[in-house]
Amino acid sequence: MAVTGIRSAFNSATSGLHAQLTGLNVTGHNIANVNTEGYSRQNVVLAASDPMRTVKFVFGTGVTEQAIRRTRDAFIDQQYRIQLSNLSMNQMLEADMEELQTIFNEPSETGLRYQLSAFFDGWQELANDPESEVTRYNIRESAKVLAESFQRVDEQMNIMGDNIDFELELKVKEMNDLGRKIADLNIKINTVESGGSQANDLRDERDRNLDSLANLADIVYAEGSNGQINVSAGGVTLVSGASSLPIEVETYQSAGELKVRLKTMGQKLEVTVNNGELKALAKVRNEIIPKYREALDSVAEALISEVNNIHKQGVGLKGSLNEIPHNNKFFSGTDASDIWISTAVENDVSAIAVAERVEVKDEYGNVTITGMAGNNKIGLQIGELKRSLVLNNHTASIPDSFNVIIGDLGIEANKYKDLALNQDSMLNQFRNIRESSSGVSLDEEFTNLIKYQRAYQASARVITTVSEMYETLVTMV
Amino acid sequence: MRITDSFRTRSVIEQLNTGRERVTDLQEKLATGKRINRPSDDPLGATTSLRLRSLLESNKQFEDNIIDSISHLETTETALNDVHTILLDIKDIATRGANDATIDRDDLASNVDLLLDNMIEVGNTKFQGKYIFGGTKTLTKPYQLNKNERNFPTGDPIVNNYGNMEYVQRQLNENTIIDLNTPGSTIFDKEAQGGVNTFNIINDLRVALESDNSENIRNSIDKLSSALDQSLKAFTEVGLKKQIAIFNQDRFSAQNINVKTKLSSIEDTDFGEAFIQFKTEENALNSALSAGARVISPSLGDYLR
Repeated sequence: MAVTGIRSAFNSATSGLHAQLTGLNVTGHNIANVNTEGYSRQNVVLAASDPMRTVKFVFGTGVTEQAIRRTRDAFIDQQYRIQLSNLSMNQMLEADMEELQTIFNEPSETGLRYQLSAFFDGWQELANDPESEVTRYNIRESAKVLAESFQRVDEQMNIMGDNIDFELELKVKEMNDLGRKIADLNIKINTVESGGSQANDLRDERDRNLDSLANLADIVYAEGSNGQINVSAGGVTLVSGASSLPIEVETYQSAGELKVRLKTMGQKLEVTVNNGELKALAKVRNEIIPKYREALDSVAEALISEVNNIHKQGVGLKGSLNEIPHNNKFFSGTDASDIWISTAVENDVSAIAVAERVEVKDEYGNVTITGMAGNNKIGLQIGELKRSLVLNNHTASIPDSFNVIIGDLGIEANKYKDLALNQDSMLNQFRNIRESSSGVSLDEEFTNLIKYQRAYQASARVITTVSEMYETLVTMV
Repeated sequence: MRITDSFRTRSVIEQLNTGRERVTDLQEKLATGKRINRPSDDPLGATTSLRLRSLLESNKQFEDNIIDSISHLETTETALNDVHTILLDIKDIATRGANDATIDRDDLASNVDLLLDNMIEVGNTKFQGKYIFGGTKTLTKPYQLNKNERNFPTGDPIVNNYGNMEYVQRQLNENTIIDLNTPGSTIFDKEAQGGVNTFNIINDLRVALESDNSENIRNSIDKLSSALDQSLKAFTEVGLKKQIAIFNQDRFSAQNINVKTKLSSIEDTDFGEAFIQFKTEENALNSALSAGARVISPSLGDYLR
């Protein structure tokens, strides 16, 4: 009995040593990972080991490590990821609106607004001196600069769209990589956990991947009873157990425009993403950029048609062969991408019409078109287009409708800026809660170090004491 | 709530970032001198600013138009002054011719002839290379002596008008377009509109002097008075146009000051206010840096043996 007692005392103490050492290990692991992104603190769960029954009483047999538990709140994670998708989307929209504003470059002395204003003012300058070639050269140059400005802004928006296409490809690839990683981790976690233990660090890694995925899109996920996580987005399953379904970007035609959408490779199921960076990119590409390009096109179209309508009714300076240039367009092209001056005007400034057209009939009924050198009514009319309410059911002038675009740009940019700011605060709250629950506190770990060290020392003391007692017994004999 | 180490560091960094963002924003406003550096800084202000800038540019153009118009009108006034002077001279000759029996009428006749040429020259006055009395036919010499009529009189006008009665226009402001020029026939050959033909009157006097026709010489004095009245009337109308132009010029001067003030209040950084804000934010940032440093460092480990 006594030997049994000593042995069991030893065993108890040894189990103590073992358990406290495990505790120390886990503490050490936590401390080592204090700066690891997405690490959930772990702690060892100790329990008194199964007692031994004797005739007289029930003996405790020491301590066992039941599990190494990971502190992680899955509910908080879910909330966090929803907010993260929101924030990522709005931050990306904010950044893209900033880029759009830079393209338009207003208010400034060099933007389209100024070019438009100077162009119309230039026609009055021309009307002050229609007989001269110099003023005609000036208006032609001014018109060229204006046309170039339109083309440049349109082109830059086009390029921005191309860049987004490229970025979309990269993000989609990132999403596919993450999907595959999660599928791999599903397998690994399953393997480890079917052996009975918790795959804590692997789960942390899977959670990190899920966070990255939430950045990209509004994912829906759930953990199955086998510990595997299935992920879907836009109603399409992307990760199921060990397999992951990659997606790709597809361009398609819609109302004469090229748009983008996401489809699964293979089955070509459409994946509708409503949040996250992918949503932001698709929105900018499919809605926002086309909207502003169309608005700019409207201004250019109005400019071209209104100026041409008046210009065609006028006549230029007497040309060679006593023929007077008439019925010419001033602008060529149809919208902001191809607006330019007409060939007639490009070749000869005399073709610029400032004077009213005069028809002279001779005695045979032949009509000659001519005009008076000092007449400037057509020139004044074109100049007045700056103020004429020709758009929007006679409520807006051409410069007005351009200003509206700039106003809309500012308002929309502010919208995403404010949303992003608010989302940031919200996300912070959830991040803090998550941190608070799962994060490592060095103060705590240091305390644990002391705790386990003391307990270890105490158990070791038990062993030396029991050893001495055994010694006494032996020497006695 | 558990405060973890990563929470502490992240907290400090976020607060610093917020501080730095505010400082950077103020710094931009100070450096550019503009409150609105992109439409999102103040969308409503941005659109107002665009509108006002265009308005200022329009006004500048109108002011240029006005200056050009005033020059043109003054040239017209000078020409009309010359018409007046020449007519007075001719009237004087007529008076002498009528009253003085001893005077050499042939001599007077050749004077009148020269003065007719002068009058024709005035009728062909140019402004910046364009004839001002030719209507919109600004590149065609409006008045030419009809040599056939001079040598073989048939009753046709002595001077032909190759111009027209159309108007060259100038836009002085949004709503005001004036007819800038005075067509020559308002001054010289106005017989179709109930006036007199100045050239014919002068020529008739020459003929009367050469042919010693005392009655016609006397008659021409009255006719010359009519011609003088006619030119005076034209002169008055030019004066009225000039007044309109100057009035608009003054209005723009006043309006531009208002517009520029308004534009500045919308666009420009209030330097005093911005600098104070900048200093405040800078101080806040420094405090955050200092406090942050204190918060991050210590942990229990510093105190354990």
